[in-house]
Amino acid sequence: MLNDIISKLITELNEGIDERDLGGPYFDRIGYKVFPFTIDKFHQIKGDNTSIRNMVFIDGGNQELIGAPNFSIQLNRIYFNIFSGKKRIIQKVLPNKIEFFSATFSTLRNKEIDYDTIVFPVKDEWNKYLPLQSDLSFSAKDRANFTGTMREDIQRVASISRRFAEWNYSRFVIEEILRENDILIADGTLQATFTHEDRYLSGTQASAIKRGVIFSGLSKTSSLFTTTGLSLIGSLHKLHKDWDIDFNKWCYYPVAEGLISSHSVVIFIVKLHERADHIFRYEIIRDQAKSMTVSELYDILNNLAYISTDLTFPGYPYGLVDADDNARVRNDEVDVYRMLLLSEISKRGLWRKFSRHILSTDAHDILNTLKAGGSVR
Amino acid sequence: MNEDYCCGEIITGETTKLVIRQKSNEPIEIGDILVEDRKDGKIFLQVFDLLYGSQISRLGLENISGMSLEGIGTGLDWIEPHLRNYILAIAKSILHIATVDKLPRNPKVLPNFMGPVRRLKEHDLNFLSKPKNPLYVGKVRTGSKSLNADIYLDAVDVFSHHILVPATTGRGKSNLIKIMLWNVLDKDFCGILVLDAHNEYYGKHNSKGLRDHRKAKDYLIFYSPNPTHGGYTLVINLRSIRPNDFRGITELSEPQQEAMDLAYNTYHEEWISIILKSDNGLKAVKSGTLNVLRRKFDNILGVYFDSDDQQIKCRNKSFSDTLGESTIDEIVKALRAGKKVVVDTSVLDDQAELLIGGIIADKLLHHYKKAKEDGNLENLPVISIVIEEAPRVLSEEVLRSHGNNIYSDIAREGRKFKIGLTAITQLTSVIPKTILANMNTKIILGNELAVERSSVIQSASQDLSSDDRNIASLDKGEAIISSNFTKFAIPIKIPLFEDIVKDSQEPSRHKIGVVS
Amino acid sequence: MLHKFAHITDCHLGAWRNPKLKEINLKAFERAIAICIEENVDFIAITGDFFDVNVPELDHVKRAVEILRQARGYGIEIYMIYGSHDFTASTVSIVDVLHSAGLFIKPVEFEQIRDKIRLKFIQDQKTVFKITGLSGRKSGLDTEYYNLLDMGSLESEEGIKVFLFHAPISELTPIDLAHGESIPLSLLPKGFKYYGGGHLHRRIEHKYDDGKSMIIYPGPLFGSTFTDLEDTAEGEKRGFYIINYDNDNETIRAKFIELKIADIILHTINANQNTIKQIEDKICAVVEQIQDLTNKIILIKVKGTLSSGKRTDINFSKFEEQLLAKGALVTFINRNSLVSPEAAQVKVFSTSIEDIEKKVIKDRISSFKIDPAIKDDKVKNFIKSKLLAEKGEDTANQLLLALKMEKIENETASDFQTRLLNNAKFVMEFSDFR
Repeated sequence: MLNDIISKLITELNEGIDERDLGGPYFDRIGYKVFPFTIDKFHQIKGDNTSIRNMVFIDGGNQELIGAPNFSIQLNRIYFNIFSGKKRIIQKVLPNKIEFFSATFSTLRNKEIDYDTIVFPVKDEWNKYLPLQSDLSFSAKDRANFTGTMREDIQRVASISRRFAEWNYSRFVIEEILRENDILIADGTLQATFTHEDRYLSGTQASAIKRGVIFSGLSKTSSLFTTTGLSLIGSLHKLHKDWDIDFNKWCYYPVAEGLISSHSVVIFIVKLHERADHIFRYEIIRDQAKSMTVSELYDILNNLAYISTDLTFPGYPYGLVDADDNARVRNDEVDVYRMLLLSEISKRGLWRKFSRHILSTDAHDILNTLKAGGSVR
Repeated sequence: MNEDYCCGEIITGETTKLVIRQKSNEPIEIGDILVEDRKDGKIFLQVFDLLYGSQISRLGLENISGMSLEGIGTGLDWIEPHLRNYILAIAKSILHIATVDKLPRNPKVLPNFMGPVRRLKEHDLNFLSKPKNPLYVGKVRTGSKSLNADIYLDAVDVFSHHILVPATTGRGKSNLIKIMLWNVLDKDFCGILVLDAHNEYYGKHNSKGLRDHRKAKDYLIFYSPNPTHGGYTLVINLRSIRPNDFRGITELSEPQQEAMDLAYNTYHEEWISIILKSDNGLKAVKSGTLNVLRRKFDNILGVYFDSDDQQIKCRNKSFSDTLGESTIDEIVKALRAGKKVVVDTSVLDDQAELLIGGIIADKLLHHYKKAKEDGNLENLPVISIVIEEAPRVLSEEVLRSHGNNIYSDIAREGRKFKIGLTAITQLTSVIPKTILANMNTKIILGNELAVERSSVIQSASQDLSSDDRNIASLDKGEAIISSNFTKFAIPIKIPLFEDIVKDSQEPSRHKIGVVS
Repeated sequence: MLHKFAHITDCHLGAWRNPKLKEINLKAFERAIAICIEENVDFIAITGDFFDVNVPELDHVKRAVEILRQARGYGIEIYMIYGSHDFTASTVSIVDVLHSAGLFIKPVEFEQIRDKIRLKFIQDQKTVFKITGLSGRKSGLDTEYYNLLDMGSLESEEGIKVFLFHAPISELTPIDLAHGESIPLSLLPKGFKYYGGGHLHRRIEHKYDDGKSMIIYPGPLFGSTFTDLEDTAEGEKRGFYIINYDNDNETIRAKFIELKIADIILHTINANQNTIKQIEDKICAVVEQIQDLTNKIILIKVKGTLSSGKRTDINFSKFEEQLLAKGALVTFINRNSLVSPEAAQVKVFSTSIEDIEKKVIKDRISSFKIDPAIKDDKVKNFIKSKLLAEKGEDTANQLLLALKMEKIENETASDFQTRLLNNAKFVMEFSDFR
């Protein structure tokens, strides 16, 4: 009986994924120039060390320490590294890692719910790397920043400060460490999603252009579609096979160009190693990409591919593996800080007040924690 | 700490189980002693286990390994392998040297969290001092490397409180004993009797031995059934033997013991001859009992009465009714004078060997007890009796079936009289805990058998509960000294005896003034 | 062809304060030589301690010379090595004078080849024997010299060889004679037909080298101490050996020739916890009990702890005189082992003075330590090598022996003192220290 259901399910799914017509790249917003799938857009990447550039990989991480529907305290971390080829470069100009706490809370203002975030750098001298407090206020009405429930709202807002800090710190890295033709690779797209975000992103972009540093981003995940509703990445996989392309390390360029100011990029799809199971979306800011020759573009990809030979994640730049690892805020760290916070709250006799809000969490949370076997706060 | 010396960093753990991440290219070995420098001094840590550490999950590692093994990992490698894959050393604190008085003490604090550690250097061992009566055993070892720091034990303390040398075959027991004897050979604060079951200590024409010591002619005496030039013949006169000397060496029924006692009480020193010669001298004893005793004497001593020649004869020439009257006394005298006596028992049966050793030991104990009564014990040198295959006289089974013997007596109470055993054994587990507990110094060599290691560990003077792997991995010539007289369990490297002999001074050549 | 020689040892001529015992001892030697002449031995080997001291009374020397010359007169060669008593290296000994006079041959010539002593053989003119040997040394040096012997040359020498020596062999030494240092059997060179030993005052025969040769200690002809006499009274035979060697079938036979110059009777009295009166009564009873003691040597040994009083409260001389009056040749009451209750500090009990001396020395030396105030290593080493432990005992015993000598008739006090001092210095080997 169950087998029948499974069988029917797969049949339906198979019929739903119709690869007979792959279509072309699809963007659901205006402001993108898309290019149809053609074989000549597949380019081989050598991935050798014939031309080595300095590459900075930067990533950020954050986790909530304590939270309620109306507030969230987070630990945020930004980390970067520098590689020349596969060799890490030790520098003492800027700290490789900066951390800050953020406290986000909802406020009633002009009869509207606003979310304000205050940041607290772990070291005072890191304050300059962080976004301005004024840029960290958001109205609940502005749905560009939010999804889903109020609980999810507060968490999403709380993470914005980290994202802004990533762009801001990238600017410092570009201005104080990198030189012309060096590359900065951020984790994710170069798209300004949140209110005020473009202020930071565009500032970094401007610094990059001024210094001649290639500003780019590599996304681990991609939700791009084709015009026939298929996954763009999957479709390119199929095309690579169907068109008998004999090189297995390649980039597909260009997929599209972002023409809006909040996302002014050239988008590539890259497979950085023959053994890679994953292919990624890669973007370079448009002004830089358009001004480079094809060989210069390939050179950048060559450098990326050269550092994407790590056994743990073939085809993914090792620098980003390292950045992710070091930027991540782990659960055991969270526990330590949580205890400190709760201890201070308790010392000041504020536990009753705070706990009323902490305990009014969405029931889903409780169910989730019950399933995971964790403790309920 | 100077970055150049750092070989690791403590990342977590507890007092008995600290986890140290090893710096890449600074391999840490099991048994290594590491040092954490602190404001108030330094803490010594000893590594007893090694683990792989990795930032990659187990599944990830298995996958990577599979790719490499199956040849589908071409073009892939580890980037920054040393950062993500590393060795974790598990260590315990063993000693704390305080800056204020430079004295060693048991550590009572944890080393600093994330504190760097470095390798042990010679200058860290400046607190070790040479005792008044030095017994050299080797050099300090960290892992497999030895440092130029000699380890001495106080001979009077360790010999009188017994030494146990547990080890399986081929781990260097004989070499260790030779090294120890070589260095105290010309020291008259100790007299040592060696029951040499394999004739390996004195030296032969094709191998170096104690006789190559420059003071051998003054301090070393060799007894053998077939002595080399300068050695004494190992021949014990039957008059030197008492009924009590058989105690614990062979099983004797009550009638047999009574017969022996009667013969001795009646005929004193001639008791064995009387038993051998005829029944007439002991009419009160059944002839069956006497026959059994004659057989035992033949088996153990090799003596019998040849009725054709009307003489007592000995098959192995080590016992006689005419020769060797003063052998035992001479040996005891030499030991009391702080000399070293090697008795070659290689051609003797176990029982004969133990009997001879027992007669000497018994006489020594008697002398020393008397000296203690007279208040002269402190003027006498400490005595140690080196005995191989110690379970022959100290195992639970032997003690149960044959009863106590002089060796077990010495093991239990000898230290009151400055007489001790240096017992060598492959099987520590068969020796009663009460005896093991009295053996206050254990020089532990390698041992593959888990049950034996466990037995040694349980009876050690320091906590060696985490050193099982350490002991199992001891190579030939490596040892751990666990003693009541050391502040911590010291890992040592025992030098090769042949090297020591080679380096020793040539005997001085002097003009002989012979007067004719 | 048959060869025959005599082996005599430890004559200790000149021993005994008692003139009668001294005379008996001399007579024993005289008798032994007479037998040798009767037996027509080819030569006589004397293995040390011919005289009791290095400069004995001259009348004894004269008599000894006469006896030796008698043997020489019959064409009997005499081979003699020195012992520990009759010779000292510090001064000329009388036995040296006898040697210089050609009365005997000393078969101890050697040459030093590198660090080895190569003994030279003397071929006896009348027999096939090649003779060599080593004189006795101060205690401790025996082993050293034997260790230096060139064994290869000794053992490879062709012919029928005799080795003469004056040292106790550990394996053969009876327990009651095992006082000083002895040499191991392994230090004797192999391949000799006969090993003639001296120093042990007991008769010992030992078949060696699977019966192909013999080691013999004949023991003294009479004895030089009361312990010797007591042993004789208890059955120990005194005399010397005549060795017969058949060259054709290479067999050697040893015949012991007993000498009984005087009978010795020994009585032992257990005086433990007895009063003075009780002991005297017991001695008296023994004195009365002994019959037919004409020309006999009477020894009475009294041992035990008095219940009260002192040993000196007993008039031993009275009993000795009584025995002499009954016709005893010599009488001696040994009271060395009789102690008073207050003498508990004296922990040494023995029947012989020599034994007591050795034990007291041992006792005293055992507690002797180097003064920590002495810092000079040379001094410390000297003390260690001469005055501590066993070496200290040896030095003390040798000093006693060296200083035991008596003033010779007509010797001035100054000369006597010088002689004593030189002997003592020799023992102490002060030249080594300087």
